[in-house]
Amino acid sequence: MSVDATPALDAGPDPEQQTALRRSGRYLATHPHWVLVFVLIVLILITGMIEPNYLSVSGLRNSALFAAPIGILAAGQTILMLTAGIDLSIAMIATGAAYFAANQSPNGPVLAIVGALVVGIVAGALNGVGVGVFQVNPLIMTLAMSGILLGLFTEWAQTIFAGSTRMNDFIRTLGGGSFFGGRIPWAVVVWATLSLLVVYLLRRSGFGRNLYALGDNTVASRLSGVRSWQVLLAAYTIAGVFGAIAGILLGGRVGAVDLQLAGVFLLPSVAAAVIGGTSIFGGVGTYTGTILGALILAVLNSMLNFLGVGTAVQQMLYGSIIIGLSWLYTRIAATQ
Amino acid sequence: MTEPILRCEGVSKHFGAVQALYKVDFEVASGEVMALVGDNGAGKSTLIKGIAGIYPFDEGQILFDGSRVRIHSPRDTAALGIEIVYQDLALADNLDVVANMFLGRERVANGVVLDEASMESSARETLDSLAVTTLRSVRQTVAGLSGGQRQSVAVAKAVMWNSKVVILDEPTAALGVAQTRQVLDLVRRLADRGLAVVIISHNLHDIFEVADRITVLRLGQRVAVFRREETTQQEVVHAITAGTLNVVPGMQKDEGYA
Ligand SMILES: Nc1ncnc2c1ncn2[C@@H]1O[C@H](COP(=O)(O)OP(=O)(O)OP(=O)(O)O)[C@@H](O)[C@H]1O
Ligand SMILES: [Mg+2]
Repeated sequence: MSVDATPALDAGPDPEQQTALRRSGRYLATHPHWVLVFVLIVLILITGMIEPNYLSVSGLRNSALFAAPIGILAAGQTILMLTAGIDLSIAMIATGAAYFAANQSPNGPVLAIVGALVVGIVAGALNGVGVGVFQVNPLIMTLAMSGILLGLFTEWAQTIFAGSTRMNDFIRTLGGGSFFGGRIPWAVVVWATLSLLVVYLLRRSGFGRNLYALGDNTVASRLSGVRSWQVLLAAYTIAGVFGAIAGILLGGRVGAVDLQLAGVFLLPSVAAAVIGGTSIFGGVGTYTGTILGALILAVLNSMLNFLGVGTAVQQMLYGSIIIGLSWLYTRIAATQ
Repeated sequence: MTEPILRCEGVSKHFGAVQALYKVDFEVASGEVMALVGDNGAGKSTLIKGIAGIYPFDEGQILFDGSRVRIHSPRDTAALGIEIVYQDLALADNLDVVANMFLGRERVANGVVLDEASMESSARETLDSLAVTTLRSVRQTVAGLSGGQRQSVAVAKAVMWNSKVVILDEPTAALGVAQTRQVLDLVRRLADRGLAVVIISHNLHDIFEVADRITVLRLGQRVAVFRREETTQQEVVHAITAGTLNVVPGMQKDEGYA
């Protein structure tokens, strides 16, 4: 191809190094999943070297348990990022859903779960109406929604939710329990089921195709007859529901709810999608990539825990990863 | 002359103080290529966008096949059998040819699952029937297509839906000689199949090659309609730059062309 023949035009100081960067960049761009699988395996091995016990059923299970809520939140982010959107309220939705679940916990698991899902549906649909119908910028819409929810739940924590901090046993098992001799966490089963659904939806459904089209060229999609506001409403509602499900699992794993329950998972939910190759600008990405991204973050989390690195530093790292990869992917896109 | 399939009667449109269209009549019949010409800002795109349901007209009516229709969105237009090919807005780059041709109207097998096989064969059939032979694969993304190939795909997309009217807004503006040739041949073939075709272009040479009739807009008004074989390029140019205007309420005077 003619692209290969033009390194001389590069302004960079070292053409050879540039070409190598480009080559690997292009390989990464065309075979992103293999690179991610490779990174994941290397990270697991390094973590195993730091702490040999990690390479055991319980060590890997802990990583999977940690990855599940991130992966579910990141499913919402992936769907929205394909449309060039994002949900910054998803962690607050998760926390609120967990509160409702705890509040309804004395009334049995069904009501607890339904209560949580309603929070996700309502908050997600409101985001969808804001972005899809009133065309509010997604960052603004969901950031504001996050603020509103935080205020609401802070208020309610003292009143309606006073005392509702303990989770129903069923939900505790769902969020933190395992089966098959303690090998497979229930949360991973929930995640795997949702994953199949999401991958299928994105690859094989008309809805999925419309998400990609809207993210690539909103005007062309609308003029072609894509009902953009309906697609966006559905997408934000689905993200809200995924937020609620992640909230149920997180609340179940911790066993109790407080206002800080899901906040630390916002950055990783975006990071997982970005690591997986989903573009913030829309139209590009797969959920398979995001799944690998979530697993990589979970292994990284275990590694950092073994090294005694705290949550604060971990958040800094997630932020840096997002910035670094966004830069790298933009560079790759520019050289193609 | 056969009854026009699509007809606009006395349509007007203003944007703030700008009167983009003033009581314009416009028509196209099945089997003919109607060219729509006029200087920059004459109101050609505005007329098309009104028909498309993007900006509704302020007054006037649209008749389709003899009866009055109301158009509120691009979907209404498509439902009537009117397809519009917008110059830069036709395709989503990240999707392949088939996905683009079915965008917004995907065929699904059992409620959710895309019926890829049937979509692919219909797309291929349409492309073949239009003798679009320059595409290597219908499964390549349109990002990698040339301007002429993209335009061919956009036109094929428009005719695939058994449409009766196809409107093309500057389909050859960005194309080279050979690719312009391809698109013009395609336009002629559509009309020969019995479709009504409206083509907007600034290139009178192209228009004299394919059009049967030529409607001239000037400053938002229709100033002339010519039959191709009864007119000359000079006459059309004169109408574009100096055609006689009606007095628009609020308009000072003709701006001194005539
Ligand atoms: N969305 C809009 N808002 C305000 N004014 C507009 C809008 N669209 C068109 N106009 C105005 O209406 C008039 C007609 O514009 P239109 O785009 O229809 O011209 P055109 O004939 O398609 O010109 P061109 O050959 O340059 O494409 C122009 O004066 C233009 O500035
Ligand atoms: Mg125009």
